[in-house]
Amino acid sequence: MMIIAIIDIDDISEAKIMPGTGMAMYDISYRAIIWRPFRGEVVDGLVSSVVSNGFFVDVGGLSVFVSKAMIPAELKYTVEGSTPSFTDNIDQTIERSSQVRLRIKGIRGEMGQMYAIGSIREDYLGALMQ
Amino acid sequence: MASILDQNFPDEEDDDFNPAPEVGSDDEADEKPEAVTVDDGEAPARGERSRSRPKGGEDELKDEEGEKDGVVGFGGEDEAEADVDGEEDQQPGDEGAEEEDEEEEDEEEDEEDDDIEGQPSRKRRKKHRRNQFIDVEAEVDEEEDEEPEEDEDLPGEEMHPDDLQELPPGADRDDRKHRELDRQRDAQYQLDAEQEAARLKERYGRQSRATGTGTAIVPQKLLLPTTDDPRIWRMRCKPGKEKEVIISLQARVHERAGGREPLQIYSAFERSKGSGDPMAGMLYVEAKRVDDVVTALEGITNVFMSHRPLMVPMEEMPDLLKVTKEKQLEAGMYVRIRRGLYQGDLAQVDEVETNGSEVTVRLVPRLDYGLNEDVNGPMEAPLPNGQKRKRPMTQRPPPRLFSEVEAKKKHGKYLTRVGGLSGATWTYQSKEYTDGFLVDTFRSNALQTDDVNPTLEEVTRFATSGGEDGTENLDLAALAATLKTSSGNEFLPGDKVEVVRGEQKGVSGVSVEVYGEVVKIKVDPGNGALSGVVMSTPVRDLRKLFREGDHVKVIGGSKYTDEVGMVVRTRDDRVTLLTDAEQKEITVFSKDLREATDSGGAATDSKYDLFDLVQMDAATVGIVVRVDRESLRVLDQNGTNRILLPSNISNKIDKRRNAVATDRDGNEMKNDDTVKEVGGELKTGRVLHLHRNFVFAQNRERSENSGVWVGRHSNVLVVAAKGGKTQNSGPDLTKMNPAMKQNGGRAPSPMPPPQSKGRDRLIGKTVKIRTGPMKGMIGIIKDAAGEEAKVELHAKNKIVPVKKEMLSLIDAKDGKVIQGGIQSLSMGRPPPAGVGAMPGRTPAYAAQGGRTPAYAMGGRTPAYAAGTGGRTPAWKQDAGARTPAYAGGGQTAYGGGGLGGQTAYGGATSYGGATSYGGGSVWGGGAGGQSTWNPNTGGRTPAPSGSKTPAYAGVLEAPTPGYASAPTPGGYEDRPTPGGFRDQQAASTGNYGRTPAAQTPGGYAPETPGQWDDGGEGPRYD
Repeated sequence: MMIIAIIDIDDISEAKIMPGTGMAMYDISYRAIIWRPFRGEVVDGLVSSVVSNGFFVDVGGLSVFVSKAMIPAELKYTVEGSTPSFTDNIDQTIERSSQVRLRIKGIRGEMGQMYAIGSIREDYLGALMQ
Repeated sequence: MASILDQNFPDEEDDDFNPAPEVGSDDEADEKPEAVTVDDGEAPARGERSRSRPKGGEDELKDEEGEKDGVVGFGGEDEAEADVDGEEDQQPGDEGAEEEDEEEEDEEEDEEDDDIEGQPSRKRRKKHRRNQFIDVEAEVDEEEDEEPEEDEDLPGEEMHPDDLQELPPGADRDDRKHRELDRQRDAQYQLDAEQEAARLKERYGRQSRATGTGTAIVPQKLLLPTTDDPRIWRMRCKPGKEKEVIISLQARVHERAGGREPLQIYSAFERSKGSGDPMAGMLYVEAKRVDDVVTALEGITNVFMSHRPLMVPMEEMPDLLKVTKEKQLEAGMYVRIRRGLYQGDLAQVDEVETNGSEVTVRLVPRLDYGLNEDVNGPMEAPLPNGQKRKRPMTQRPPPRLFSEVEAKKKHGKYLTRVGGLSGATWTYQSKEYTDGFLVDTFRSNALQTDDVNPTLEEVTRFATSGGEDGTENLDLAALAATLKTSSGNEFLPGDKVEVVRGEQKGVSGVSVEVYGEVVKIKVDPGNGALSGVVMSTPVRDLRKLFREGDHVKVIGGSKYTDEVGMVVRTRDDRVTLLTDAEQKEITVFSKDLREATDSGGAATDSKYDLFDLVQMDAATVGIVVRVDRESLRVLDQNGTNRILLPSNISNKIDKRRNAVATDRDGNEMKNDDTVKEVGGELKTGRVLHLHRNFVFAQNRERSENSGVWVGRHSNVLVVAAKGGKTQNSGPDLTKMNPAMKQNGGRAPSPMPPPQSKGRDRLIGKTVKIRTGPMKGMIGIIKDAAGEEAKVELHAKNKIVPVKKEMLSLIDAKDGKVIQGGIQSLSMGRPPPAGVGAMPGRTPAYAAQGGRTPAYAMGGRTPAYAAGTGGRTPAWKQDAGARTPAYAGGGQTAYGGGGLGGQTAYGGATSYGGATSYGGGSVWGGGAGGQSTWNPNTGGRTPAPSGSKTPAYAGVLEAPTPGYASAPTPGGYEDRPTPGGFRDQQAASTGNYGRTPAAQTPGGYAPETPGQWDDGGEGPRYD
């Protein structure tokens, strides 16, 4: 879950001083616009980097990794010049900054970061033609 | 009647035992008459096979049967006859009734055959001619040998068309024979395999009908031995020699087979699995009478004839032949040594001998290379397994890989190199060492194959020679064989499981309860009738189920223990996951995985976290690139990667948030800035830590060391600062503080270039690429940051990043290159070195820029001068600040000599200026102006006036005559003309020279900036 913007703050509680540290803790209730990707959701994103075992896609603030196992077998990892890409040498090429539609397979959240893995091994998924 | 006859012949008994389809065995029986000798030849081979490898369920039964057949074969001749007899007996009864009907039909058919089939059959004959020459002869023989005999004996009994065709006169008998065969073949071709089988059965399966076991599959129950069957007798022999006894018995059987007194036994077998086995020393012989057993074994060594043969009770006979699956040793598996020096040590099976009794294994040797040898003691073979009396008492050496260097020290004489391509094979004390491992042969019973449970540490020793993909080999192939025995404790209630064997194969569910080796699972919905049912399943039929995207943790079984990651692929029980920590794919068994909590992360108790900077010793720091359960992987400042225990680390160095260092170019470098290595691999990365002279940076796209690399400050360049700003964000405010200036007394460095703010002014401009692969292309700058600009090419719809220095600005309309356009537009570039050149002085420039000469004289570069008007005052302000220094110190750089002073003055001039340059001009130019100036409150005047609009300035100016003179066109006009300008300057120089010190610009100029600051209204640097 990712907070995109806080709309307003409803309430700020009384402060509690944390024992030992002298810091104050508040409970704040607020309304926010959040983004919560779901498992199984189909999203579009921009490829941020291509590595040998897959590629990373930025979907908003979410970094999605598409593993080789989830890339159709036709798309082969190739390094042409210095730009690595997954390509079938016909019309599909996934390289840095290409647009990709993928399905989120799993999401993992950490403090301040979200990671996900995705798949393009399905119909209608993969590089979007520009 | 037939059954009685048959019962007497052992072959029929065999049929009773045989769970296989009747056809085969009956065939055998049929063929026996002419194949007795062949059969005899085959039997021993089969018998041997069965003895040496007592396993494989049905196979064994079959083999046993074969063996029996073989043995039985000695008395087989009567039996063969009996078979034929039996057949003769039953045939008339069976088929007599049908005979007549069919005969009629066949007659009709036959006519038709002649008419219609005549042609086609010839065709077909042609078609099959080639085959026939190979096969037919044999087949004709067969037919003639077997069938005709029968036919002759029983004329008309066979309803086959052949027989009917036999009736016509045998004039062209040969031809007829061939045609007949053709037709048969035709029929055969047309029949499919099933029909063929049915036909064969019909043809050859009569006896079995007679014996009442006509169906192909006979219930096991009916195959159990009866009182009429031969019995099994148990004999004693020397334990461990069972196999030998059986083999010599077999030899004896063959020896006597052709003789006058063949052995009257049906089979012999042993069930011993080794010396410790309860079945050791037992020998079983199947025979009708106990005397036959005794005769058979008489005189064979190692058989204890003193023990009387013991008859095995009938109900126990099947159990005796029951096959228990035995664990099969395979190369690559791990075993433990039971005895000797290496007791308890893990060994890897290298080779299993075909008889399974001896196994070659690889071990990590325990050698001391004679170091603990008692030099004065008696000569003894020291190792391994050598001296039993002394050696085991002393401590056994720790396991270490074989080192020829150490062996040479004291035991060079025992060491020989074994010629080989690799050259890593040695013989030391008559044992072979390959790649550091001891390769030795053990008896299989000296190896422990169950509950091996190799620890990770042990296994990693063997992993050193894992081939090109060592980890995969280690973790999957070898460990699989050893660890595949799953036990109940690997399942926990709540685990998602899948049934992989048995009737419920494919059913998935959630384990509810685990007890012993049974798991109760609640079947998931979507499994048909089973949905929601709670059922018990043995552990071995279950497998943990993971789906793509599941967040899992490795809980054991491999070196990846405690890794956490997301499943990207599952294949059988192998699960590939992408680790959270390193974004690396690893493959493990599903049984070693468990669903991880979402907050996961390698939950370690380590004091140190990933990417912590740690102090290893006084001079060495490193960055943690991997946190394992017990160890840390640290990349130290020299770029070496070490695995350390947390205890090896003296302390953690807290991250200094505002650490600042300078890069190669002297630019400021802070945490989170993006830096690039100069030279080397040109690595880029985000600064994680700055420590002393080192910069630790991370690039997530690199895989080694979690993307972390280390470099020296002087070896990196800041590519982009954290906020995306380029180097030197903002001016150094201290430089604007005249107080500091004066106190420091230092000569100020050349002015910093103005900083780009907001939109880069290059954006939207039409440019041409000057060099590089895209040279000559024209495009529009879409975006620009730092050194680079993104250019949208006109020619193709593509946006390419290009270095600004590779671009030249062109006029969008006529395509002409505007010299210096890029430089003037792109800010944030340092001014060209040659400040003293003062191109700004050229009249052209002055005209172009529309600046006052004074300003131009400021020694600015054109680029600078080209700055927006709004800035001008700011500059001047700065210039003013420096004025004193210049004036006083006479710095050359600035004004290029004496003019510098004036320049400064000019700076001041522009005060008045801002827009109302006129005022300024006057100021600078009018010598008389100074006098008027003086009275004006110590030079403060300009400050307010400068900050204000010209109008305001004008107001102020009004009272002073000097000011008043400013608007005069004359004064103004002088200025743009270079000549005039120079003159004026010269004049002013003179003025200055004459003016009292207090009146020199130096006198008041220093204050000016102060004023400005106070005012706070003036434009600033930001």
